Amino acid sequence: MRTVEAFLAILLMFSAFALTTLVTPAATSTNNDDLAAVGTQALISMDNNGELGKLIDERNWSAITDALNVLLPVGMSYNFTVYDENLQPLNNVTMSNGIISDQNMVSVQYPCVSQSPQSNLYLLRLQLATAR
Amino acid sequence: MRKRNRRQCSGQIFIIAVLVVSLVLLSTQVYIYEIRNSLDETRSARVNDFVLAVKLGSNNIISGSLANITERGVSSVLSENLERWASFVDSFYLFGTPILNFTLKNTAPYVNGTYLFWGTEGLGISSAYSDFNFSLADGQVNVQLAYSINVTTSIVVESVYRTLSGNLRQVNVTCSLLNQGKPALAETVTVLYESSGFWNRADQQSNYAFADYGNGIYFISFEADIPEINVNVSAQVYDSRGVYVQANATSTSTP
Repeated sequence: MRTVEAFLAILLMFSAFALTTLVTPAATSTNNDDLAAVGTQALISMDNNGELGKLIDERNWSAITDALNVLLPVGMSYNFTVYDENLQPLNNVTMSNGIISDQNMVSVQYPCVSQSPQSNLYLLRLQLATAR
Repeated sequence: MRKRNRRQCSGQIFIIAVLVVSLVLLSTQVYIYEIRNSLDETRSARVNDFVLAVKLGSNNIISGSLANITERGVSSVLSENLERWASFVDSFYLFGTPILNFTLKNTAPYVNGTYLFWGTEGLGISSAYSDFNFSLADGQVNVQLAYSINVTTSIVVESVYRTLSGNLRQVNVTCSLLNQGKPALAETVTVLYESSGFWNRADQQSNYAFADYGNGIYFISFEADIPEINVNVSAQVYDSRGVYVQANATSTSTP
């Protein structure tokens, strides 16, 4: 009789462990989504009055870097790349505030249009990671 | 007898242990449920951010197209740019399939999404209007959104003059710039006046004064020889988005 009860208990313990491992990746995914949301919100803030497209038109990479340094939280590393309509990279300087490890990195893609008469289209890629 | 009781007790302990483990399992299930709920909210927030980015881009591309149309006069630029934008948006989103459709406003006074009215009675309007339909299927989140973007730059010009001596007149021009009906700042304001059938720049005249009140209202004053009975002025303005608008007005005389 006790053998059956012990078997049941062990089975339940294993089930609990299995469920715990299922929960862990979900929590990581939430962190990544939070990072992505922070990055997108920063880009939206810059793009709100067409300023981001204007800075890219002017190839003013230092101003974009300064703005990202202000808008992104301290302790968050980023790497920012601007692509043109044909997905060719435009920035000839690195726009980053540190080293991003591949682990726990999130990539945000953002479509941007400049308000200039040429209406240039840009694809922005913001890679983000929290310092650990 | 005691031994048998102990054995029965240890069996009960096993049953209680199983119950405890079951409770742990149950609480774990609740935890997972909560996590999934928050995941759905985050996914929804991510989609909302993307939708906002698309709306911002739609607004920017209409502004840019209107700037282009008012500068170069080719109205087909608007539909061409919107087609570029729609296919750009459709192509790169990684987590789902976005589809952006647009319909240029074609009800009066708009033609192919644009309306330019640069009048002679102190009112000028440059406007572009388009309706959009955006849909996005992102795994668990489906978005169907209809929105309209109206980019309008308008100017109201009021002018008065007084005769100083002979044909020499002092002209005061007030320009009010509006974006979507709200006060807006100008990039450049150029005022011209008509003299002997030619249009001349006011800023090349003596006693030219320019005041920016910072609320979309600009005051320009100058003195010039104007032999005509009517003192006609023209204000040509680029707003901060690069959209051009102009309006002519006939000045009224003040003592």
